[in-house]
Amino acid sequence: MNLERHFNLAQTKATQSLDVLHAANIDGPVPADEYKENSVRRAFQRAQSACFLKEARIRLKQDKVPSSTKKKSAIKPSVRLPFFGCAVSCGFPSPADDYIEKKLDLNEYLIDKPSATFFVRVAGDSMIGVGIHPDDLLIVDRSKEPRNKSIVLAIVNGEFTVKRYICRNSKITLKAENPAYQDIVIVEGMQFEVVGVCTNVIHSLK
Amino acid sequence: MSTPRVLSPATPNVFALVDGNSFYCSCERVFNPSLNNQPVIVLSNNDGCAVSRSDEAKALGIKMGDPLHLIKDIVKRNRVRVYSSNYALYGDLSARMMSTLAQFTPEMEVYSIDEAFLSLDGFGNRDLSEYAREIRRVVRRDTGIPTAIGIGPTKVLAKVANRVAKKNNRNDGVLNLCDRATQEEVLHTLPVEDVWGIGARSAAKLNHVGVRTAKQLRDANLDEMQRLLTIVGRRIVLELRGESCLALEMIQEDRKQIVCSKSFGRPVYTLAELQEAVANYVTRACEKLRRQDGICHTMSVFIQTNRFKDGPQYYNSGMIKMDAGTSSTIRLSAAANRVLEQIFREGIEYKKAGVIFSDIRPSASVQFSLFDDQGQHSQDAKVMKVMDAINARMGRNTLKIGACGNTSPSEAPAWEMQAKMRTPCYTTRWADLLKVK
Repeated sequence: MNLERHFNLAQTKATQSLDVLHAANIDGPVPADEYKENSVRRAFQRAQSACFLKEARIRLKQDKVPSSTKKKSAIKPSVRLPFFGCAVSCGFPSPADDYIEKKLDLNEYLIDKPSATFFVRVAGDSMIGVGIHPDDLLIVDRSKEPRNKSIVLAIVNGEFTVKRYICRNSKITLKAENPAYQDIVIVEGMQFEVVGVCTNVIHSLK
Repeated sequence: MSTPRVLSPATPNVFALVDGNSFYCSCERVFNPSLNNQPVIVLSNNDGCAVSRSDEAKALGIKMGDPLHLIKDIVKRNRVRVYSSNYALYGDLSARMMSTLAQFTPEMEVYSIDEAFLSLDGFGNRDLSEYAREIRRVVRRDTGIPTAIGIGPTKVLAKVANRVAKKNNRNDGVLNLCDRATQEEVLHTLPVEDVWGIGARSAAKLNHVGVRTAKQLRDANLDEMQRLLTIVGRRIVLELRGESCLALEMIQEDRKQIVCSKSFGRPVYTLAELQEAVANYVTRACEKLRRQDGICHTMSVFIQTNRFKDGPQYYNSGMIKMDAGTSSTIRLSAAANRVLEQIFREGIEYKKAGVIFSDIRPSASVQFSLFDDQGQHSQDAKVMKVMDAINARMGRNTLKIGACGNTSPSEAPAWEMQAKMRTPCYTTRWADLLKVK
């Protein structure tokens, strides 16, 4: 009997749910906003549980149900279920639904100021000592002021270079992290500019 | 032109116009420091004319819009560095510049790819010139783009200030025209044609009645100026007097017309090639149209020969009405094909083609006639939505209509523009990233 009541309840809910489905135009384009999507998903799951119960009822009937229950279940609204081209998970809503957080975004982790951040590709091994390899991706933030020992992207005499920025007694040296390379000492008359500070290096292991 | 806004006299307006110096050239310099202090020019679409010139190039006498073939000698003799326009790069750096500027004011109007009006209302207790110098410094640091900033009580005066700041290079590219004395001094020496909104024809009219400087225009009779230059002229005069008539336009209005037209890289002779080119232009225009959620009711298609070349000249255009209005690339491209078949003539050397969408209305305003198939219309909308979504995610032209042709990026079709000296798209393509040692 308990099952019977449950079924009736589920059936009403199912019709309501289908209203929601129609309202959300589920057989049309994919619902745009998340709210709609969530409510549609829940509605569909409810509809599905109703179908599941319906099947249970049929089995009940086959097992010779008392006549009183037969009468009640005689009202059978025709239910048209939408066709989904993709797989939809059955069953009850996930208990994790209430705990959904946004996805982790690497941009957020790697970049402080998008409008001032540029990517460059490393060519050469002058910085291999700090784990900057050829073909690595360097993230450069132009808005950051270099501090002593920052890894910087600089322009020296019209050419870009990545080096460690050493500032001692107001004398600037660009130091390579590879003994095979010489330090660049900045002297008067040189065209020199720090473009930005290298904040991260992305090294692929592929 | 914006409609005049009623302003309470209690809050004096302050506008700053920030503008990137030789913007395209400066963008090229950001990724190629060896161009610093060298003459640089950037060419228009199809490598035709100089559209951006560095100061060094200007000093050599290269004028805005000079065709490359006319300045070949100057370019060669002075080793001018010449580049094709790289709009992917300029667009990205422009967006960076604008978002940097947005940190400095709550209200701003992006006026063009390299210009923005900032409202500095209520910043009066600060030293505005100092503030502007700070803006300049941060934009230069964060984006690499040098700017000039003009400040004034009206947009027209801010524009004047910007122009003078850039020309004279005094005060580190910043000029504040808020006080009367500076205004007098600057307007007295400024030719009237250098005032924002005064074109060559208006300037000729003004010169004819003896108005030659911005100061004379400011002090001219209002009604007389309105007779001469319509209400637009009246507003310019008022703005020169320090009465703000043009408000900031912070919301970009939807376009009433969308044009996509380009010159071909080399002459085109066949209908098939024209159709392919036009299908691509329709595709671009439709993307813009859908971005503003509009539908187009009238489309014109035109084709023409090279005006600067001897030989038979031909120009023709055709118009087609789309009864219910549409934004479907498929429908509009098919319609464009029908127009092309009508206006095409055999044996002509075509140089340029284009499409113009006009009578654009919001898509919500669609009106069906008795014979229109509404189901078809919503079907079209769905298909376009899917196409836009795929292209947004996987890159432009991932999904395109067959009429656009099927050439791989490496083999450019005949009608494609020339851009022989284009630099890599440093900020928008992984394969194009700057390589550093």
